[in-house]
Amino acid sequence: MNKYIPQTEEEKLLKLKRIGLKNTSELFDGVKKSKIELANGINEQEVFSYINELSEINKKEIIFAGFGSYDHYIPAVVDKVSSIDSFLTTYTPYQAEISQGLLRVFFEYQSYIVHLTGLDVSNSSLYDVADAAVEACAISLSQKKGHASILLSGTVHPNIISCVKTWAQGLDCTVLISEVKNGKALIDKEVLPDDLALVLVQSPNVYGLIEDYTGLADIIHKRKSLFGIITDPMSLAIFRTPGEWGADISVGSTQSLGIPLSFGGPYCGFMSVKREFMRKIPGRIVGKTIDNQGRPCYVLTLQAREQHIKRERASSNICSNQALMALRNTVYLKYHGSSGLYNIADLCLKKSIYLAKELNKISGVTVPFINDLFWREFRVDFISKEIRDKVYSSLSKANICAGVKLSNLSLLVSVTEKRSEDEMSKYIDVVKRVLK
Amino acid sequence: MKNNLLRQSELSMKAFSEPELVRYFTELSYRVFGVSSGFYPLGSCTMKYNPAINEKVASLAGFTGIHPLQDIKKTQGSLRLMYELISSLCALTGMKDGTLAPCAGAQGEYTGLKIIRKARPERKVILVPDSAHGTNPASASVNGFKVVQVNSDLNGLVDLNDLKSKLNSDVAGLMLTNPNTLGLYEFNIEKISDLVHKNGALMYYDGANFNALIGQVKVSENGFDILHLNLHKTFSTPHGGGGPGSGPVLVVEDLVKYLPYRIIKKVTKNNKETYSVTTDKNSIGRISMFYGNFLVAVKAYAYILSMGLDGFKLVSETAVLNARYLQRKLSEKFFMPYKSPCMHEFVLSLDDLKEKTSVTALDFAKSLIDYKMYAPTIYFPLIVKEALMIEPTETENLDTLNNFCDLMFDLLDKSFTNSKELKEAPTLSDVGRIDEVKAVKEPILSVYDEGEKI
Amino acid sequence: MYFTKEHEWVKIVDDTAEIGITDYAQKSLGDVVFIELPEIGTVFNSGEEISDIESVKAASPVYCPVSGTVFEVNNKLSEKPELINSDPYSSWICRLNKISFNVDELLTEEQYENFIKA
Repeated sequence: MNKYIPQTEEEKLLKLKRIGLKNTSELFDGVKKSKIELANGINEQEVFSYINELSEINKKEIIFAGFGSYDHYIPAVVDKVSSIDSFLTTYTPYQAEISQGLLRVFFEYQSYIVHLTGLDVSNSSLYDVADAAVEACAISLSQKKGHASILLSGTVHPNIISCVKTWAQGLDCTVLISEVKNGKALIDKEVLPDDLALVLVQSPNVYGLIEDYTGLADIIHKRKSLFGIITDPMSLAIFRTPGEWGADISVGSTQSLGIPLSFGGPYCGFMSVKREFMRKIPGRIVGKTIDNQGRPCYVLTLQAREQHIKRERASSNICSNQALMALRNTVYLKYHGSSGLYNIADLCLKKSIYLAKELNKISGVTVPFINDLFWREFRVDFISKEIRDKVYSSLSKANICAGVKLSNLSLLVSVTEKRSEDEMSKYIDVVKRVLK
Repeated sequence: MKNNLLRQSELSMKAFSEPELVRYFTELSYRVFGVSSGFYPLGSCTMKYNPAINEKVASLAGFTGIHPLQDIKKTQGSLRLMYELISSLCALTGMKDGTLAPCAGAQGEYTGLKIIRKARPERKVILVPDSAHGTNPASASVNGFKVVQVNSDLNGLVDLNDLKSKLNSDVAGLMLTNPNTLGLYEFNIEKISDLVHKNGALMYYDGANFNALIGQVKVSENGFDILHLNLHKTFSTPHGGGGPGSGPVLVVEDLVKYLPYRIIKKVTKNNKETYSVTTDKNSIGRISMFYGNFLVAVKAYAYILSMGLDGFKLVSETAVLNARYLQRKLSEKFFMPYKSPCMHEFVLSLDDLKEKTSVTALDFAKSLIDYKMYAPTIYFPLIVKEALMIEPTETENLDTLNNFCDLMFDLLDKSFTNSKELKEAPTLSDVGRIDEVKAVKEPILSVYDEGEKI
Repeated sequence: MYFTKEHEWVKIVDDTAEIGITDYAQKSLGDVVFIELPEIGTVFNSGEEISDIESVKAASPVYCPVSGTVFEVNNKLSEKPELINSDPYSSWICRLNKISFNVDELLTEEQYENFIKA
């Protein structure tokens, strides 16, 4: 018997007999079968050895790379809870009466996102930050009749910019990219187009810099446009929230909050909005209500927004989300609470400042925004591509992933709370050795 | 630090000790029903068992601890796994190449439609059958296409005449699920493809129902040009309460150049195989941040290795056999709007019962919950009134199937003798029927909406 | 008062029109929980989507039966969308002025009732 298919030969024959067939190939009468070339199945031990072997071909390194994927410590309890079988193997909680546990988790996740971002309403997750940014663009487009423009800051993560540009193909929409000055967005109010639907900025931005949006919300709102901020929820333990900047929409990745690197996914995108956009937000939303006996309970709500009801009139096609990752975020935040989260964010701040300063001291190495406010990530410039690459490969030999190569001369370096003094010293020593 | 840049409102989130946390979440987990808890006949969702080995290999540190932008020399294991997974999916579907970047089926559709737009830039219409999943028309319209519906005929299949009347030089593609959402095989599939191709349009396969065909039919031979698969359906990766899923997109040779970032290539040099990533200049561009939901791909690949071709033949065979067995048994007393033998799922209608007893599909669904099982999909597809859509999958043994039928018959009897019981169900779950109108009219969407703190 | 095949009603007085949805429409929607009202000053052509009415499990577009400019919306419906269910013919959604329309495209009460029966 196949381990995953509980059927004896006798049972198979019983079923066949009941439906009046002699053999299983009659089940496919009238279906033209194909010749398929695929190996037959192997046993579990063989599966494990083979995939384990693949995992061992990968090389684990000390990670100083960020750029949308950050190496934070994950408390073991996060794994423990997210591998509870009923959480793992359940579907989207359509039948709320037997899904209260999960619905409560999403309600808490939404509450955390609302609290961290300073906005009013959150959904229960999207695929990733790029998807969340695209959905923010779609919301703004639905507010406009006819052609519309979307302005992205030039300091938004380039992969997000690419995804927005892909999305805009074929739509009645122009994507504009703002200028960048000293590593930060330069939104020139004089050149904003008349049909502006959305201004989308990012802080901490792609270089890790904290941007100042004083006065920006007013300028954008006077144009009857929306103001969106891409951010990292962990940074909001320290820095001014999208709500406090006057944003209408906030999106980002929750990967920092208890989701492993995992070669880029699954991660999780969040979106929160001002209350007036409650019915525009895509994806699943959990609400609290009562049952037929007046007991408090939870349910998927505002469903009339969604594709299974609105079909071609829906403004988003999203169906599933990253629910299990939202569960991980919830466990992570409940474990740490405010002070725990603040301390981790603060360690990221201090450790990245430390490494940036030390690297900046080395001759031939410049941290261009050293005097500015940055968090967890910073750009390092070298005098030539050759030297940058030599630094990278020397660190690589020491099993250190030096960062992410940006332009010809730069590295983007990320330091989380997980990086020890020893690891940073090793990093500095190797750079010094190369630059000698 | 400039004060202006700092968080202005107080951060106020309570911390819990580990024992408190574990007890809290364990208690919540008792109030969730998964495939591991019991029968899950949720039509169109393919709620099959999620093998334990999948989780074990996806938690290997050599995968979870790898950054997506490490030097490619150091991530060869991940790239090779992705390459081999795509190759296996191509072998099963007959496609040429593909991408794992889409994080879910809907994002797969989005990607496929971007490819159609790029390949047929002048055309603005996507045809979608009236029985289609809601994501199909939604994906087409968020991509800027006009959606035109193709009607089903009396047998529940694509109405060829209606299709012909809707084909014109503005049609870019047809999105089709096969078997369709009624669980019926489109026996005219080759004729349909011919008509669409002759019109210069492309055929898109929504792989939501691929479990019925896996190991039997390469859908490329049906004439499909582009498809997405749902690794969280056919390929046994867990649903996780709504995700993460994974919606790989595969295409025929002509369309490979349009695939999104990044394409994984195998390079053989001096008998040594390495894997690299490239992008064609004709690519539609990037559609997600990195490589999609990689760990989901790991789980799916473990399943493919476990099953192999012989296993997959057994999967589709048993999934169809189980569904047809249920269909036959239930048709004794329930009304089947489409009588043809089903594939992996089928739809029955309680419209007649509702007329006679006022018992609805919703009442049936809620009553089943009291018997420790999940409910079938209800009120879908839209072309069947009071629909119950049942997909048993290959996971269920004969006892489970028989018990389900007995229970359905019991509920049917009770509809006439004691409909109140069905109307009031569920009574054994920890909450009863939910006031959804209140949930929408007085939305409480976070603890802050009720004046609490997290 | 005129009707449409999409189950809207329209009351026309001089060059202004008041629009809403029919009793048949509210019954098939079920408990109405939300109505998206158009913005004052917006110009609509007949047949364009002017409003969206939601129940818990359905969302239905309201198509403008005439061409014109919105000059007033029924804000009472934002507070109490259920009025659409209890009194569909008094629960107007919005009023338009500077209207134009083709009577042949609209149904009389009798024509509408025959349409529903069919």
